[in-house]
Amino acid sequence: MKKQRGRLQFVFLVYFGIVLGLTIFPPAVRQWNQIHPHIFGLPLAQFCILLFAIMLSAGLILWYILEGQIDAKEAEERARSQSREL
Amino acid sequence: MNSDTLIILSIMAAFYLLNVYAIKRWHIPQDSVEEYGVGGRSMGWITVAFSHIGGWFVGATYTGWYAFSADLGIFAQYLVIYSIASLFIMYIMAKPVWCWGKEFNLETQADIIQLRYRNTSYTTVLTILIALVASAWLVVEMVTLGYIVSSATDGVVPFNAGMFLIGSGVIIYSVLGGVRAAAQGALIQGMTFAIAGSITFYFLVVQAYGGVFPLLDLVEKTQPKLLILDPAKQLDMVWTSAIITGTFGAYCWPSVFSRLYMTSSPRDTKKGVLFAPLAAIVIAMVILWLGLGSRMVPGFPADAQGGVFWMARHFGGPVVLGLVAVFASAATVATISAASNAIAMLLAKNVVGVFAPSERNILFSAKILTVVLGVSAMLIATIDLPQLITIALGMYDCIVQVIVPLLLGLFWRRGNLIGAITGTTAGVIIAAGSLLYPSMIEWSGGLSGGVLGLAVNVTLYVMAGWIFGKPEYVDDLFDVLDKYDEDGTKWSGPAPYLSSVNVSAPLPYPAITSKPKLSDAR
Repeated sequence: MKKQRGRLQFVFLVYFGIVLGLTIFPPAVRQWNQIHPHIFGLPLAQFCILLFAIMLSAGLILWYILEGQIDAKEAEERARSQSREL
Repeated sequence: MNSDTLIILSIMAAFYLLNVYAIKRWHIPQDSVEEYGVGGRSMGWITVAFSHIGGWFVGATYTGWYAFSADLGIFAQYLVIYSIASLFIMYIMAKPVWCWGKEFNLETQADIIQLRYRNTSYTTVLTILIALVASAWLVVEMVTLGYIVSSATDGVVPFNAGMFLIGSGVIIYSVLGGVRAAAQGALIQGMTFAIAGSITFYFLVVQAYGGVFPLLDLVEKTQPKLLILDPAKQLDMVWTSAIITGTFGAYCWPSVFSRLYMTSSPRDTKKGVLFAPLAAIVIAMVILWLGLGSRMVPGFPADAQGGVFWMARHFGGPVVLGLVAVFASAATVATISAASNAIAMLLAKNVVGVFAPSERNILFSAKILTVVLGVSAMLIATIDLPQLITIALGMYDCIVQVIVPLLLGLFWRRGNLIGAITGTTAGVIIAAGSLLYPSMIEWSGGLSGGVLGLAVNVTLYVMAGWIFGKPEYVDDLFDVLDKYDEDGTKWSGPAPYLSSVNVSAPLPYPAITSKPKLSDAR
């Protein structure tokens, strides 16, 4: 279970690293810091800022949900081992 | 006083009466440091999530950031990005901070520093640095409060009168109700401006421009540079610095950090991510969009800081202006109450507590310091300090240096005192030096002294970790974390550190006389 949790943390660390990198790393900023083309009617830079904000939020929510599933399994295992000890 | 002002003042009065009722209704006597400082570690996730939003979006969002959006365009939206990115920091810090807090009776971020590095002098110096920077922001928020009340009432309620009236009320409930009252006030304030505020500001965007897409069309036709991070003003590089310092600096603020201790479990802290990031997008984005097109509205004032009230009056009338005054002042009040409590707690426990470490002394000092800080901030705010916001923003570059020993110390066992002292000292010198002598960092092409200091700080901390290795007591500290689950339940007997750790330096807070047992666990 600890391994599973570690893997999940690593995946999300990489995910947030990539999204934040695209948001702030100067060469990446130069790519999206334009008005044209428009995407969904929004200037490119405005679209990208909104997209990065949503991706960061979605990542956090997903992390919480997936970690919750690991916690539930862990709690079940712990309860089982405690009852065995008793 | 005309009828418009009467309507505005009535709306504000009704809102603050509701606040008083709620705080009184859920008041708990403040008879312990744990209750006063971290609300007895018993708050639910909704209270903490909304009070986080209440404390996070400062009054300056409606004045300073609004003006940024009007004058610098989408650059101001770095607020949205770092607000969400800082929640990532909150997420990873939640478990170690909560578990160590529960196990060792910690209430401030300086407590964590003392526990992890065991050097009272280092802890005291960091405490004073954090308190100084946070106090500067307390003054900024007091100024913002006076400004909001006088702008919203068109000067009928003068700056000083507005600030003293509401500011004194906030300080009184902060002293009487401790951090619980501050959190409950912030819950109402956060809910108000998260829900009603977003709707009202979107209504204003529609009234002023016809909606978001027509606004962006208008800006593209008249001032297209507002739709990019203008490289001519180096905004693309400042964008990078602002997000890095904002993200890592967030949990260096005592009022933000103390929320990690307040919940009843690490899971409750983490649960905030289900709501807070989306709220951050909605709340901040609509305010900043309203600001984005402001300069294109005929008659908009030259000083954009009061522009949000002008727009509310112009496009919404007195009722909408009253509501906007409530949202803006609520954001300020939530920040003032949380900050004054947290700074007072920090100084009481980690400075006064070193000399007089009894629970009674710390609690008494915290209450007195809350009053002293609040009153001092109000008095300083009456002085005309044109450079105050610049100084306060610059100090952010200094406070962010604390995140290195704080965050890395939670996860990396090799982190040690030598790395913490050398890294923080170098980081603060670079950050403060670049503020005094900006020419020192001209070569960086727009990166701030804070970010450069942070890079040196991390390098020194990691180098010292590899060279000098982990302190002997650290394994026992980290073993404690394995004993707790995400619900805050402790699953085994007394921790091994109780017998094996040689505590060479005294902790600057009362000795822990009782430890939680399995039977105490929820």
